[in-house]
Amino acid sequence: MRLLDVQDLHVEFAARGLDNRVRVARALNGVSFTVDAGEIVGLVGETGAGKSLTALAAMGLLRAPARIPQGGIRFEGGDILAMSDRQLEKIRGRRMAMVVQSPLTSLDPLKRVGDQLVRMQRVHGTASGAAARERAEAMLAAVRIPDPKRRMQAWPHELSGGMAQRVLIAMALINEPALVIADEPTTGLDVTVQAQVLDTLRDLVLARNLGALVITHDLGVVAHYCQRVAVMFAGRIVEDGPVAEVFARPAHPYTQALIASTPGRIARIGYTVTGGTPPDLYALPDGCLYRDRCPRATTACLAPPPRVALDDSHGAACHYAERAA
Amino acid sequence: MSTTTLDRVIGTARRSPTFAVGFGVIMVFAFLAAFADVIAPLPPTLSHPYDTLRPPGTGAFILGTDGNGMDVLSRVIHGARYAFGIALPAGAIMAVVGIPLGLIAGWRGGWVDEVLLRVLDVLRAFPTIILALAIVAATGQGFLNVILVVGFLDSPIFARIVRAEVLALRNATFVRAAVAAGNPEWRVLLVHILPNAILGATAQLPLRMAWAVRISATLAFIGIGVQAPAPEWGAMIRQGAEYVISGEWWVALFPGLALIALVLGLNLTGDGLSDLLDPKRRATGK
Repeated sequence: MRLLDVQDLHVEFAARGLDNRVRVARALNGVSFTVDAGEIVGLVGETGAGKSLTALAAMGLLRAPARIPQGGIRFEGGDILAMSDRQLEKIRGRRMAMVVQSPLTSLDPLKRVGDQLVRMQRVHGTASGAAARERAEAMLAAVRIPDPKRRMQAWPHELSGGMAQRVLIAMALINEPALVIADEPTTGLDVTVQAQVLDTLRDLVLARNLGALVITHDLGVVAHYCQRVAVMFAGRIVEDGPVAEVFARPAHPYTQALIASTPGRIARIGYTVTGGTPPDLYALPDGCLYRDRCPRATTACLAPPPRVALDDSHGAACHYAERAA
Repeated sequence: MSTTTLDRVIGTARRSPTFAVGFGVIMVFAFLAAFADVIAPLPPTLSHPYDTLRPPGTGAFILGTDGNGMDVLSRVIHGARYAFGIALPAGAIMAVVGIPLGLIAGWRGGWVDEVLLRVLDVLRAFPTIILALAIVAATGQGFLNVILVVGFLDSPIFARIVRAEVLALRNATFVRAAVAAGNPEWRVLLVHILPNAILGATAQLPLRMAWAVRISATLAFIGIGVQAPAPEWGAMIRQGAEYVISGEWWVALFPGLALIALVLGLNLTGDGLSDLLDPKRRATGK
């Protein structure tokens, strides 16, 4: 049994435009991936590719006008899409926890840090009273916050961005969930602080044998912290596989373009800029969604590309995947 | 290091002198109201037929007597009871009615919000003094009616303040994080949204209580609501107004000063509270 198993997930929004016509935006178009215990999976892609949407769907947090016309999400064997709000509340923050973006606004400004950590345990009945405070302190120490006893009394606005992000990680992990979803956990942090926060997260996830889904648009983060990676484009996963494999032999032209446009360590000789924009989600063409930007597109690309397996764990959704790799 | 109550009082005064002064004034009046029977030199409605309109300082009448020969000082002191007697319950009604309405309207949105807002708009569209006058006149001139009218008329303000806050908070990241952490809806609403949403309303409460004191005095002044010879400040000012032209200024002046002082005190308290309640301005203990 997989920890998190997302199969062929579709998500669409019905939106009424200025001309008063209802149009449907197809935001996710068949997303499939899995996360197992003890591994960190990276979900990368450009803005609007559907990364955060995938995370929200996995948490069962999608609300109208979002619809899931097709697909399945199973977590620890349970069907997330079939669960009631009551059942989901029991899972969220308990078995499956989320580390959200923008750490500084994600803490209740009127509650002290320690109280928020304690509350997290009380909500799920994992601990209360002195035991909860003790665990909260231990958790703050585990995310390497100096002087945790004193920080328990701190107000959220007294924390720096990196510190607040650590507190959020502590909150996510305090109930010992099986899966952590980190949605761009280091946006807005300095590069050095970024590395510290991610190191902390990785160490805790691997030490406790949790599964983690890290959403990012930073390939460097993926290369450094993840075991497997899934590359998203226009609501589809275009390539997935072990990080080393995907970075060494990217098979999908989009992945290749992404890697080529990364400055620094990965492409040492400088970088290129990929042209074009993501397709209009209101009017998705049939066939390959990348074909307008693809250097190797042919008439074959008018048909939807299958996932071509390059080996048992690496695959790409491209008609020419094998030739390219 | 433990902080004593005294330390805390001094700390509060330092952080907001405005609040300290305002609250001090309120406390003085609260003291007068609580112990009016002991402090007032004479019963407030005891008439001295041979000593009408005596100027301040005549014999035992420190602030003089009014047209009925009643001691002005005693009446001013007892008047504090009427002021608090209206301000406190009216303030409670404003908060108890307005805050939940604003919370529901902001959180639920949609038609619930729409209907509530339009009803509140209609209430606010009338000039309050005219509406209060009409309702009190129609329902009878009891003390209780004044309280109810003043309280309900002002609850839309609280509903609006709280609703606006809830709208902003509904999409705040920490609220969404709370949902993602598995908090049930009622918990998110009561534990995370409510405390953050009522900061503004709390600071507004003393201001609206000041308004309640003023409006009830106004109603009494124009002869509606509390009636003379009850020692109510508005009623006393009305009585005294007749004598100002003939030179007996003290009958109206002293209740007027008391009214000004209490309203000022409440207003200062409200201003100071908004500073004190913001945790970002809260000094953190060393």
